[in-house]
Amino acid sequence: MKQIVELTVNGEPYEVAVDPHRTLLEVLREEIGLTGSKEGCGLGSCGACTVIIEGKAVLACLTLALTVRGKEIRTVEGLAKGQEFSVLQKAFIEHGAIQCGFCTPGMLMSATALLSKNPHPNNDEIKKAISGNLCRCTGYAKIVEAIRSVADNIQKT
Amino acid sequence: MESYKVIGKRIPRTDGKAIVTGEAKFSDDFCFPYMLHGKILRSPYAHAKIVHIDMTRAKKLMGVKGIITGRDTSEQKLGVNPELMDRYPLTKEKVRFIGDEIAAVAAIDEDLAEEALSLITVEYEELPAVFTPEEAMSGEAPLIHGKERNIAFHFTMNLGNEKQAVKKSSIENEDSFIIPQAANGAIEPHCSVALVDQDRRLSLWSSTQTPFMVKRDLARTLGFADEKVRVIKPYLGGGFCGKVSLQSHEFCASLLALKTGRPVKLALSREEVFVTGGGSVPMKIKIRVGMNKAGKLQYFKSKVIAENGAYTNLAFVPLLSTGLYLNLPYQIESISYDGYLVYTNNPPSNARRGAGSPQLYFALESLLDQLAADAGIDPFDLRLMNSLESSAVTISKFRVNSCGMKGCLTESRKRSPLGIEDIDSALYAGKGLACGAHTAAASRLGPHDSSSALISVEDNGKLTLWTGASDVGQGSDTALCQILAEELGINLEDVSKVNPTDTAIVPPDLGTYGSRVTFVAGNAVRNAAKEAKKQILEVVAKEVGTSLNDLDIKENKIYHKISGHHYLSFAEAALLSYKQGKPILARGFYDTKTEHFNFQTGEGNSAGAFTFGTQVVELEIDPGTGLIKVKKIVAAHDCGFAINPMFIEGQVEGAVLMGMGLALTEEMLLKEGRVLNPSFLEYKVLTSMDVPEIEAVTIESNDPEGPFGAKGVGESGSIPTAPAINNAIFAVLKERVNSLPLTPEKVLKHVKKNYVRVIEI
Repeated sequence: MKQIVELTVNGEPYEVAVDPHRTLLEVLREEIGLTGSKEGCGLGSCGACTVIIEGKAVLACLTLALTVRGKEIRTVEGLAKGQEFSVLQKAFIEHGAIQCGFCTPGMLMSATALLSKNPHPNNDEIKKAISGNLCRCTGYAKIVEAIRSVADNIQKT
Repeated sequence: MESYKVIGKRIPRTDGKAIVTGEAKFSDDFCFPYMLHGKILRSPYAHAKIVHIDMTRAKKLMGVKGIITGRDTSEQKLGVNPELMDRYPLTKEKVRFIGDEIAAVAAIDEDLAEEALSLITVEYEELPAVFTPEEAMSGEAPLIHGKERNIAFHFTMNLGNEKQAVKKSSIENEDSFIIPQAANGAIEPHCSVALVDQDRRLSLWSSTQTPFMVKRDLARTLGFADEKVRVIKPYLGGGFCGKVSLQSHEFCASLLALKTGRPVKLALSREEVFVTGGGSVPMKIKIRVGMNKAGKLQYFKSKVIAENGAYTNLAFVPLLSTGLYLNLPYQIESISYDGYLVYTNNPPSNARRGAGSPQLYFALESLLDQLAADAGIDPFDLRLMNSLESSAVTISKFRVNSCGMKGCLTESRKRSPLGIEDIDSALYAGKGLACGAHTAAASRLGPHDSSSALISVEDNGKLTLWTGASDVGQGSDTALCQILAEELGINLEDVSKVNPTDTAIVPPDLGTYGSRVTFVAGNAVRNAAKEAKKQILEVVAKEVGTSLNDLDIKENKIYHKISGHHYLSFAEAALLSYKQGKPILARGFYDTKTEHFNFQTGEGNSAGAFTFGTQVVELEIDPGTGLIKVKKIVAAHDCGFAINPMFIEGQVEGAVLMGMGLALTEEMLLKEGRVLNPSFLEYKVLTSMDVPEIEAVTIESNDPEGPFGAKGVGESGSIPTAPAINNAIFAVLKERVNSLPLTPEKVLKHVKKNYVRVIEI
């Protein structure tokens, strides 16, 4: 039987009625209409569904929606503040880190979670942070470059 | 040396903002009111007769709105080759692989649709099945499609004089190579959403690389008039050849939408994509090469057995290319080729990035490396002395108008010469090189091989580009706008392309496959731009009283070529054309200058351009485990001219990693027709942890026919990687592992032998 639950996504409250077995990914995409987080496998093996919950990168397709009531959930739609894009979003565009774009939301969330915990990661730490995000188009090179450029700039300031 | 304003520049994707905000919509992101969810019922048997399908219980389930089977479909089949159409969208009478599509249901939610599937009872009569091409061809195997010895397609090619060539060869060698199936592995699963309006017009949003092909084949298979079908390709999460031409799920979503009168979304699960997505064609290649003492290649002789699987998708194209591309990239006077595409009761194979080239060059380049060792010739020198050059015509009549093969070799040699390793553990470190070639403009498959474009100019000077070209992630939308802006002498910011690719709105284009977009669509766009330029200059010429030929456009200004006088800005000229009641509206076409390939002789220039590449791989082998660690890859690839160097690098870097996957970790594992590893957990796609240092080098051979000299390069980078790695292993161990993937288990066998040898010394 469906339960009414309030989910806080990108700072906004959403009241939804969900069955206990529905995942956060399904609820985000189908009930709330935030389709930025993607389903690539439904098994937690590709990372396309990565969101941030209380600062940690989490796979939304493996998270039951009811278990995250009351927690701060952040999706790719919440990275920009109006027309002001995050430094990571800008870096991805500038460095050609986007090809088909399907893995991009997940990559951005994993990278955002990394930099908020560790603003000065080395290349190995960057690669490890996105090792759960599969990309078939870019070969990862420019994605790592883009994250690296943001990490370097944080170091400069 | 031309100095360009817009092309040749590292410009970021113009639609980057939509992607990084999650705004960009892929097929599964579309939802409509009253939308139903579709699911497909698949065969649990590899080969069986369908005796009876009982849908009574499924129909009674509340929330189920429609069920279709092979009985509801016409006699029209799927496929791109009229001679090889052997598959109904929903099978009739027989199932031929585990996963074969039998029925489809539409229900109010996915869970109900799944439940409905479990309530459909199918009575089967199991038939004996066959799982290897050798068994299937033996003459004793059950016939899957009633074709003799289960041979779907047989192609032979004998060019030149083999006897003479053999006489001239003082060094000969041959070997056999095994390449299994590798999945396309696009991160976006296949998905389609069908909608029918009150006039019974069908709209289909689908993750396809070829919206116009899907439109044409939907009309044909549904028995609809062409104009009643509209296909929309929104953002596509990668294709790599796995999303080409009409697929069963697209047909099922459409037919269910027609029957229920409601929108239907049919999304394949990742497991379904692994099982039915096709992937590359598994092949066994036996190849023999002869050369003279000096190292000049004399003949190639090859036999290929390729596995089609249960039905024919695109697999005949990879098979054909393993024969045809023996003509590239070297001068060769004799080729004899015998290739078979064989049915089995395994899931159908298809094509993956590079079609048959990764398989062919794995075999050819490994064998050439052996010949170089046999003859004591440096592997670079062997290739250089045999390479084709621009303007070459091969014995199969390929017109290789631009050839950067030598440039790729010299540049990669400069950056990574053999015999010099930068790694400490020198005992088990080594380098290997390999080359490859492929089409850079697809191939003429039907009556035409074209693209068309439309440009309209608004009264403020802003331009809109309509083209059927499909961006699958390579950045072609941006690159085509760059070509347009460069040709017209205006800012890139003033150009926008109509998106998504909607067959009801944009002019036709065959789609994205065979690296054709830059060359074919690029030329169509450039031709449209030339027409637009002529129209706007005519307006200005008349206004200022000068000749059209005296004018040009640069930096958004129209000026006199000789005096340099600026007349009007582009925007002012556009406004003028509106005031005169003749807004600028230009069209451009381009059809490649190719001919249909002759299936009997193998002759014919079926591709408008070709791409070439060399890769040098530096790796280390762990003698305890056989694990290979790739340290660095220098990848030099010929793109004719880099419209956007950042995109070229991106394509090469991505392709190299796919090539590495094919070489080291990727393999579809099957047992008795069942895919054992249909998930990313078990099918190993490389991650960020596996990336070596990649140096992508752009070689520009300036194709005379390509737009500003450009040609395709999207597949080129995936071809030389596996043979280069195989050759690097040989450099270390003096042994070849000729079956992919080069797993630790396979490598370790050779390490142990080598280890013993070292101790003996």
